[in-house]
Amino acid sequence: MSDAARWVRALEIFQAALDLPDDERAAWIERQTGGDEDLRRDVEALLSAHGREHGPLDRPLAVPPEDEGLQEALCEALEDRYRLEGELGRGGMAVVFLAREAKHDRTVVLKVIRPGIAARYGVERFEREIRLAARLSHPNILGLLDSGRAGGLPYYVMPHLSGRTLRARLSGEERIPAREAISLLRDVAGALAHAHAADVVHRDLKPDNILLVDGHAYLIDFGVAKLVDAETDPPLTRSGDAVGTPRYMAPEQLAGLSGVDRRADVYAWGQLAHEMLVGVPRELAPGDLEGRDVAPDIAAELQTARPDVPAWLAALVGRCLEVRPSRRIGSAGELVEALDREGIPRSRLRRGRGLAGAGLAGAVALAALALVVGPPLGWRTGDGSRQAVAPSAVDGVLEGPIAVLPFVNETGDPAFDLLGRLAGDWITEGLHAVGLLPVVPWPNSLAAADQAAAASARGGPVDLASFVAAETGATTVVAGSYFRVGDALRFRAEVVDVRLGRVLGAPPAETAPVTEPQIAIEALRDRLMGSVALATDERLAPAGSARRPPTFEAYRAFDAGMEKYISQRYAEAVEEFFRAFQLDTTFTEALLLAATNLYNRGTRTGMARADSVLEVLATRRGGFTRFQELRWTFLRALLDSDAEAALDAARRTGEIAPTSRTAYNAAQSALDLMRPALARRTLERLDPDRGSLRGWPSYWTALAHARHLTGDHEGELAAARAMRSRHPERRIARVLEVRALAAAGRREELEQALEEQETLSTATYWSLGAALVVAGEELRAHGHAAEGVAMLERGVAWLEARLRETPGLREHRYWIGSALYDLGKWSEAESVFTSLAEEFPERESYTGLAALALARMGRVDEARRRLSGSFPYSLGERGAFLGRIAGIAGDPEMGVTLLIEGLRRGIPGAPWLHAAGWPDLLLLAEDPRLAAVLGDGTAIPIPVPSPGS
Amino acid sequence: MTRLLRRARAGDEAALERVYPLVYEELRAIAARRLAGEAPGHTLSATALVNEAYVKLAGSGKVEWQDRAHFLAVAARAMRQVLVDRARRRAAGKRGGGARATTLSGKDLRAGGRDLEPEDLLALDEALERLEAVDPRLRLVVELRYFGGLAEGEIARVLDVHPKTVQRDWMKARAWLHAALRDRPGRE
Repeated sequence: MSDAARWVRALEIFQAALDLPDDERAAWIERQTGGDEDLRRDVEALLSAHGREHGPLDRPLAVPPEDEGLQEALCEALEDRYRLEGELGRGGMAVVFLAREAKHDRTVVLKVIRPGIAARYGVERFEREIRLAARLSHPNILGLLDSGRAGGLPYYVMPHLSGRTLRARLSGEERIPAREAISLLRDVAGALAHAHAADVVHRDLKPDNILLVDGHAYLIDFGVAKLVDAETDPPLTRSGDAVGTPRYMAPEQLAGLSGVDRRADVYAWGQLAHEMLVGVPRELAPGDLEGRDVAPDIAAELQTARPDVPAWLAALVGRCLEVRPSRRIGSAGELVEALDREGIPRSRLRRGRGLAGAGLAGAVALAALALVVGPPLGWRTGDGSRQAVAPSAVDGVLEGPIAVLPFVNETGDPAFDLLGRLAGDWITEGLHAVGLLPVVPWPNSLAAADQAAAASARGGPVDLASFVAAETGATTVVAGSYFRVGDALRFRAEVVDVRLGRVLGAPPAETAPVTEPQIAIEALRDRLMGSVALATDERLAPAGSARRPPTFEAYRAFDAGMEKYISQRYAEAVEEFFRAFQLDTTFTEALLLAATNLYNRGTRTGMARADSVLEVLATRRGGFTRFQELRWTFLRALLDSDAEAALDAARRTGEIAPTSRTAYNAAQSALDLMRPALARRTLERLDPDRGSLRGWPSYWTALAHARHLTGDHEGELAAARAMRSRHPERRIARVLEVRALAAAGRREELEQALEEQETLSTATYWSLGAALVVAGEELRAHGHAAEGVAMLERGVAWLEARLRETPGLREHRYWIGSALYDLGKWSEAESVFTSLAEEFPERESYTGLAALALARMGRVDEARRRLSGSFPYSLGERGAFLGRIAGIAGDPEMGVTLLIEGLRRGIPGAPWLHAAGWPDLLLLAEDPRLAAVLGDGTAIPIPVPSPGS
Repeated sequence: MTRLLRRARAGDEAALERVYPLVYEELRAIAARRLAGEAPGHTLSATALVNEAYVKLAGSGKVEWQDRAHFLAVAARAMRQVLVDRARRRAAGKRGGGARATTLSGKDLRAGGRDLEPEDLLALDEALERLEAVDPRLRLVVELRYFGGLAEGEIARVLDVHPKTVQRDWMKARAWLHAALRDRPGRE
């Protein structure tokens, strides 16, 4: 009998059997099946299934919300960057996907708002969520990697961690041991405290929103978090919509009262603790609302249910679950304190360490990142004798950014001063290698320490750690010192949470012979890296700990290189860095800085050498820290004329070293790409008077450019004047001021500003002559053609007179050539630029300018020949020159195409282009794309085609 | 279309094939539209959708619906297909991610886990095909009642049988399917 036939028969018997009384069935079935065991088994299966109540067909059939087409639309929009690998789930507001990020070849979680919700609430609400999440950076908060819109729907990207939710864990059978619960609750409280400090209230804390990974808790959804400040930011949640999860909602939240604040999160935390310890969140009892304190009752109930819960914890949970917010624990910060006080005893930091003492030899600092550097900084040390006794591991929750202070020389012998910097530098490097939390770049820490010394010299003791933390944005610092024991040096260090004023840990001191101190530094570094790695993620072995610090001799050369780098003696700096590398060929940082300085020289040979150094470094990239990797990528991108990639590298460097000058580098790349709004946003978010940007004049130049290009000449003027007051020696500030006034058409003030410069020194690049030429170009571009020409002529006259005083001065000749070109004196301009190009072949822009003038003289082919093979490391600039030449040759379409290509690669000096290149841009105006490419995101005047043409 | 439906009722599979896509598309569109406007986590009842499709198509003026039950017979089939297609996509999505514990579990988020999981629905679909081999009418009864939301009387009219027969068929089909699904590997 076939299966189907047997089933037909079985169904008949089954149906008949149902009509029989229970006690007759078995016998009847026995008879009907006649010894066919298979048949009898089938009938019994049917009967058994018939008796069961909750089969699939008994459940209501519902159409699940599929968000039809969402995945397809997303795939299309994200194609290049993320590949969706499957749906993880869907919350009320968003659908969550697992995705592969192409660029970093890693798995991420991508959360996209559901179309229906986007339509109902507007994308505003979701984008607010994204903005809030972006403000939070905490080891126990799953951070934000990226965000954007795909197919009109906002999405954001989070790291993917393998683990399960606390909800899943609580659904399991076993109880969470009290010790583990305390540790997880501490994680959650720390994360909440961080959010509260950033004025973010979670409002939807619950086990479903907490991910457990390797014994740590991570908050994963700030989906309905809302700004505390309701006045400036009215709640988007519609009245009557329940946000949050009822049992975890504080009574005032449930009641829909306004003024829900941090204490609602404290309540939810209490419920979380309650559920973790007892298995369920606490129900409100009828007597709770009568007005008396309920905390003691809750604590007593808790301890009855879980005798292993310590009394302090039961009391703490009780105080979180008070009905009235005013009786509750006030903030997550208090929870953290209580948990740390009771749960995990720690040593206290001795406060009020003073700074005093002798100045050290050698000014050192700064700016491994920025391509041009600030003024040299003096360096002083503190006295700071102290004892560090503590557990060897960093046993708190580490919060980045972390800064390493220069180690204090306690030997009394200035010959050992340099070791303090070697130790600080090398430990910083190690922390970068750990890669688990943002690290303040060493030059920034060093500069901040110097500021502390200066402040201390002005009066009163300064706490070095607090000062550096405030200056660099660090929340945690590594502070160390070394002293002499006979023929040995002993190094010790501690990790300090600056905000809590608490020593998180201190590894055992390390000792090495005086002749080989790097052995002790290396050992200490490994221990610190291990401790930090452990404190942030127990799974991780210290990364990169196999690498050794440089030999002392090599570091000495490196230090000398740094000094020269700071004073902008790039060529000499390069030699020192090469020497450092020759002394210790594992010292890749020296080589990276050599490449940076070669690039900074700005010459063609310099770039070519930087290129080959980067190629050498490429073979060692395996040993790079992420920080080094990104700096390598940044330089590589600049040399490849790929401003977009440079911008990306700079921005990513900023993520791991947020207080570095990388943000400035990013803004500079944005300017090269003619994206002034982005540059402006980036710059305006920075504090130019604090940390790594303090004393950094180029910040103001970039800001003035960005504001100029976005049409904010008031702001531009303010930037120029701010620069002038802070850096009176920087003459470019004067020129920027003149430029803003000319663009704004404020001619009286312009004259006044020019007059002020008449008494200033003349033999300089940004001379009064330069100011006159820039003013002339701007006046003309901004609709004052006649005044512009007059100004340019004044400039030529002034410059030629000065050139007679200092014949051959390159700077003056350049400006004369520029003005002559502006005035249409092509052949005169050509001879100026051609002679400059012959004298200074390294400076390729002279060749470009000479080619432009040649083209104007009708010698287009010759002009193009001059440019062939030029600018191998600045293809964007080359594209701009060739585009201008094409326009001159009567082919505006080709001209604009080349210009677009140039801008795509980045044009250094792009902010000057619209005014300095005005006569050439006029020739390109016929092509409507010119306005599109220059006008997009800018507010600069764009030439329009003249009626006759 | 009405004519086609009649022929479909008379067992003309080719006629059914021609009506079917129209109804299928309508159901899918209604589902997508309705869900987009619904509150988070909301699911729709299949019966409600089928009824809405009926009102929509009947009201379009293009066709004359003399017999609601016959439309529902086709719609039930289409509804089954709409749901199975969705379940297949969702299950594929899950498989794509591999079997892993992840940031958010889909199960955690769906309302109470009361609805059929995609895998359950696919298994049911597959079992229905096998039931067809045992007794085609049982398959029809399940489709009409479970996916189309038809009442016993309506089903009886579509199938030209006595309502009592429909009742018995349902009982048999239910027992058979539940027994078959219970044997599915990896369950319970």
